[in-house]
Amino acid sequence: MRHYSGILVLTEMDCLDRCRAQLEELPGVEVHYCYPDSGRIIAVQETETVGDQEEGLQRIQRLPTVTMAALVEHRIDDEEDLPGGK
Amino acid sequence: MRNELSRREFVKASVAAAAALSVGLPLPAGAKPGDREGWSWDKGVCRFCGVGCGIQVATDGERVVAVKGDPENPVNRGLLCVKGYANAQIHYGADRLEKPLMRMKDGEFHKKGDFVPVSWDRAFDEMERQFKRFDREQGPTAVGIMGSGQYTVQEGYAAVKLTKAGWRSNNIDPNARHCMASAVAGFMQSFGIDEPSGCYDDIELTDTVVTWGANMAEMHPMLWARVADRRLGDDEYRVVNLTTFRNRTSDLADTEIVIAPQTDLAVWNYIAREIVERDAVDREFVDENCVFATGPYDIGYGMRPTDEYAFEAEEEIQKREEVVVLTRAEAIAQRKDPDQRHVVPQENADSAGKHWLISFEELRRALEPYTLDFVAELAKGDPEEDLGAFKEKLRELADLYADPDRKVVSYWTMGFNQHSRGTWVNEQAYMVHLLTGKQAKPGNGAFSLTGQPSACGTAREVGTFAHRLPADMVVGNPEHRKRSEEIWKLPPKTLNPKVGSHITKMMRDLEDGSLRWLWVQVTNPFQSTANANHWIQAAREMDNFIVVADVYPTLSSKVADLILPAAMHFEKWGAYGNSERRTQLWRQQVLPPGEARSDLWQVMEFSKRFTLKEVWGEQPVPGLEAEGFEAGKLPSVLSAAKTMGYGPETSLYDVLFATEANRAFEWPDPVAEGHANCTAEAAGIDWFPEKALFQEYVRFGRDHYHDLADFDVYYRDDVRGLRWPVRNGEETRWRFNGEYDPYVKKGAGFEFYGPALKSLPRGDLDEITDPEKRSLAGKAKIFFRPYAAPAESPGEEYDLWLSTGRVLEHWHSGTMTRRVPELHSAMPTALLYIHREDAKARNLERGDLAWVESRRGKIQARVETEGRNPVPRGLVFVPWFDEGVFINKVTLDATCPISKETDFKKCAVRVRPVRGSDESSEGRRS
Repeated sequence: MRHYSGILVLTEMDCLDRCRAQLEELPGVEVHYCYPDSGRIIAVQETETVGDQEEGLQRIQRLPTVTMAALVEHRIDDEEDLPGGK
Repeated sequence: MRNELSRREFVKASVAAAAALSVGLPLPAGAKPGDREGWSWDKGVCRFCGVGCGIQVATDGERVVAVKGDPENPVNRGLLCVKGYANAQIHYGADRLEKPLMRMKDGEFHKKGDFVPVSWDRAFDEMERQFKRFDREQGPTAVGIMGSGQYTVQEGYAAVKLTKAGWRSNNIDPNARHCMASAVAGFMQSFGIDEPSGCYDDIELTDTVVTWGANMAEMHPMLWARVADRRLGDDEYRVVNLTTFRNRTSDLADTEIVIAPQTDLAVWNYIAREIVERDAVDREFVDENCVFATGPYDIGYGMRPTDEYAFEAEEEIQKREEVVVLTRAEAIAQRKDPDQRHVVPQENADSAGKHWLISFEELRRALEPYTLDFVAELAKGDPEEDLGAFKEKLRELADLYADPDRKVVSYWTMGFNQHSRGTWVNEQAYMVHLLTGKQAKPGNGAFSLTGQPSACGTAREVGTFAHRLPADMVVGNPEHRKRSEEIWKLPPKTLNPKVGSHITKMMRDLEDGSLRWLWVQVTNPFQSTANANHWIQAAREMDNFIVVADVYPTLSSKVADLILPAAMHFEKWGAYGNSERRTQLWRQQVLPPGEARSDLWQVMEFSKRFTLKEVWGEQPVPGLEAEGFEAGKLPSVLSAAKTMGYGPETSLYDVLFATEANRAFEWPDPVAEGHANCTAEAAGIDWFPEKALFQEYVRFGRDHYHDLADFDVYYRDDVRGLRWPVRNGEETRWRFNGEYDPYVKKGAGFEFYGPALKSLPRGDLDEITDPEKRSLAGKAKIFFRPYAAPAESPGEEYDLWLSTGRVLEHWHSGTMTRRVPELHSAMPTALLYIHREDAKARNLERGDLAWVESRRGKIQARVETEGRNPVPRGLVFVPWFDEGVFINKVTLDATCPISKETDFKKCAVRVRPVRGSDESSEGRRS
């Protein structure tokens, strides 16, 4: 089972590139969209568990360039095993 | 591998696109969110805290398969916290209850038997037999229901109607009593009506947020995200966190103020003193809209007045219910000579809420002792903090409130409400906001955040309390009973005027034998009630019958005699009301598993077991004294019932639920759009109970300050809940403010029109001096309340404060969240958070197993000296979600004497290492 979350990241506008680079160094995190006009980034984090999602989010929140990070979208993906197991 | 990679990339792209859309960000050309084929999305509301986040829920026809934040919902604007994501998985824990289970021996019910699956008929047969046995022996006060702020509106409404109108018992009380009863009492006493004047819009409109005993970052994370967004975009925005130990809310705060337990009472009075002394009172607002009031100080601690049931070690604290020797600080705070000994009998323990008018000059005199020097010395909560630095923080806090150009919102949760003076401290918040005119205005207000999804919508608005009826009415008021009897089509004097037992008293009633039959719905009270050793023993060892309806096994179900399997959130139709008066409804999405049934079906079905002649004849009610009633008795209303067309054999089901008006709401209904209804289907009826009961319920609130819209309106695609009062289709954002509130008389500016407790005698700070009552119509009350010491404080033998609370990953007793493996693995067990110096002094290190022991009980927990909850020296914190670390065996069942809400934040404990020989003892987690 894999957990995917869409994460909204806020940063100072002049930190956007640095923030993007720091995010992409984190395991399981990909940056999909950047919005230079508002200092917003949409990243996707892939983990094995929801617990890892929470820890990963905290890791993002602790990045020096991140002013705020929040979960937005969550998907659990496993063709054989939907949420809670069949 | 190639296929798998492409699938992962596809899912990630879909998630990214959906996330961007959810928060209103544009997508690059070509990007689009992708769903699986066959998924169907519908709007819903989160099952967890009182924020009331909107979610979109996906089903594949049979199962809930995904959730996401609802971008259209103004509460959370597409965001969700980690618990919000669990809304799908909580339905599918491996140990869902799917059949009734009863304790049996040799084919019969037996209190000491093992749980055996039985049919619903067999379960109800035994429930009925036991109910009628105890009802015959002791009357309707021997039976009761413990309900919940997690009831849907319709479930709570049906349970109140069955208990109060059907059984004529007022013994129904929710777990919300443990959550926000102090907030209710504060609202009723200050404004004459329950629930906040403001709304969440204040977060964006204010420029100052002060949290008092509220770890919003972890407990209300989506509101906190809104605070964070504002703070980070505005250098002038200020956030202050007052707390007894550091928590995550401090991370964003400009100022963290760590106070000693209970001293919030003194800090508020310091702020008020500064406002008065600096002449920062908004004279025009106060003169036009407010009066001043106070009440007695000798009100006890809501403990039992007798030590008959106390363990020997408890007796010392129990005696404080009768007589208190004032501490030096209390003497100063209550204008007495601190060098004298003051022995104070608690003469107003049974009349704690009485109050009278005083003058502004009396208020000024009462505040005089709360100087910065006195309050800072009393309130400084971290022994390592410099007193001068602490004073500076208090002064800055007063500056924020006193600044006429600054808007301020004060938020609080359990640190305030779970307080042996919880009502007082709520009133003090209004004192400061009213003095400065910072109430009922956009960006200004004092706001109690609730902990449960429908603590407001159901527990409070429907009135599932021992003293309440719907729409802020109470059983003690003859006019309110009359109005309720008319709407419910009951004969006069059917409703019982004597207030029933609050939830903690129900536990005490079990122990003294006055409560014999108990139905627990949507809550886990044997884990969540303080001083639990007493109640578990009473439930298991005495002649009584305990029914627990739930979705999963809980500590309470282990204590029960009969377990009923309930339907989960999206397996039924429902409605919740959140902290900002927003009512939100959802459709049933999937079917309940096995024989699980909605709580509404359970209530309606069980009501078929009673004929009127069994419950509406003359009934004994010990202690009943009310005008028009014979002492100690409810009259027979069977003759009057006959004139209304009810016969003695008519069932409660027909009188209360399947009425002609209710049966007119046909099922299926166009609003269902193909969604099922497990209640109607299990009952085999062709009417829509959730809609019928909602429409019946809204009659109570219309033209009575609590107007809700019609059922169908909430299902419109363009509606994401509405904040009541909803008049002419419009919701109300700021109550009591003529610019926004349709109930305020035209041209009045502000009008605090709440009708309750609005006629008072006059007095001085000590007593009533003129008993003639004066009308305070349209006014709010500014209360003076003094500092008072807690029921129990650390001393030589028990030398540490214990505070309990929640954690981000788990919700309340963990019944649902601990079934989500990922949440469970993130926080598998409750820890003992202790300062490293305190641990070291007790030969403990991080990870060691320790005893936490009070006068009432002891448990074991692992020591944590680091991490997310760094506590000051002298205080320990243990979360209560974990039944393996059963901290409520240790806590004290003292309550606010006015609100009857337990103080879970303060008692005295000692901590010591567990020796090898102790390991298998009580409280050991396996």
